[in-house]
Amino acid sequence: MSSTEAEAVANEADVAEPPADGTTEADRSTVDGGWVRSAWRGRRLPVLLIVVAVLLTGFGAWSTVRAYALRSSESADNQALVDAEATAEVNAAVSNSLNKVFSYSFDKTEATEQAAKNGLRGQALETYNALFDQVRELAPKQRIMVTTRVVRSGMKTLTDDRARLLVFLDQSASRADGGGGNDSNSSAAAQLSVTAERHGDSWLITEIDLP
Amino acid sequence: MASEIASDVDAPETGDTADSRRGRNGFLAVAIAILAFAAVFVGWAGWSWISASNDDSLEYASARDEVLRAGRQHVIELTTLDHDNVDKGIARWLASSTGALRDELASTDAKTKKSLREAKTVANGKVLDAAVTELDLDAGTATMLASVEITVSEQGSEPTSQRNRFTVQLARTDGGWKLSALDQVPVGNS
Repeated sequence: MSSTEAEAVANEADVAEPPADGTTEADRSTVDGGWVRSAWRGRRLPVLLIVVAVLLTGFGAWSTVRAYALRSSESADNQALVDAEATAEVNAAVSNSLNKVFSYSFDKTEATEQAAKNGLRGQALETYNALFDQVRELAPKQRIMVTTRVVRSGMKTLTDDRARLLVFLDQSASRADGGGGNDSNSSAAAQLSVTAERHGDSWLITEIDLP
Repeated sequence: MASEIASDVDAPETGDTADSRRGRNGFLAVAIAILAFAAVFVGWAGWSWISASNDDSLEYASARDEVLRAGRQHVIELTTLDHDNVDKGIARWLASSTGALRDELASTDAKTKKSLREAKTVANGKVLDAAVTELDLDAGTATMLASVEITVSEQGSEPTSQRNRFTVQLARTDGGWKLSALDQVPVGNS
């Protein structure tokens, strides 16, 4: 605060030192102080290094958590569009399979049955059979032909062995009950949510649902 | 006795400094080893974080999901309208769209608005399923498919609902991804 106070402090310090009467005492005190100081000097570096190491480890741990969060997010696991080649491959496989199993000709039933057996599994096969039982029954009598074409197909999720797609299909059906004026044509828009799974080299449709 | 004391006094002094020096060197060696491990770890961790945050495919994947999220929301807005709130509804249409689609919606004239009010119908859009089919981050454009159920309720009659197939074009704007086109996928143009 004031200069007098500062002087007083300085004086006190000055006064405090002289009582080191005798050189031995003074030497001892400097030796002691030196020992502590040198011990600290000796340990200061390693302690500093360890402090730096702890800080680095802390930052490293934080970086690792950030990196893990980025790489393991749901977005990151989904390869749809990211892996353009695989996306196109699975899209093509599923579209091709749907075109075959949902196209039906009263005089070539085996082709469709075979396609269903090859391309569908599980719930997809059950749903398919339920949908097509009626057609199968009526087809020979009414000479029904159903042509299905996938017009748009979008990959929702794609991993190494599982894909989920939204598919738009056009279906046209014709019946020709023995010629005459009885023939008719109809077409319809359809949309399906499809799940496919990789079995070896091929993708099989395991679930078919109306969205 | 005197010699003992002397040795007692002497020994600790020399022994202490030698021990402590040895101890200090050992401590320093351990500290350096710990620092070296920490440095290697932080190098690896920093690299993996930087590479993850600069990973194009991760950025692309998160943009794809953002397009899907925004697209679904905007499709709902554009397929929903309440006859009691035509102006507010149209304001929401404009907030969800950009480019040509927005221009088209913005030009909705008084006559159309009047007929929308008089229709006494409430349309509610619901996205049943959707998927992004194209995404170009450089151009800031995207395409998605949406399966949309639109339920129209009219006063005094049963609501009717219809499933629609839409292709949706999106463009990146300052306010996020917005719709630049919303088109029905027609049947049987093969």
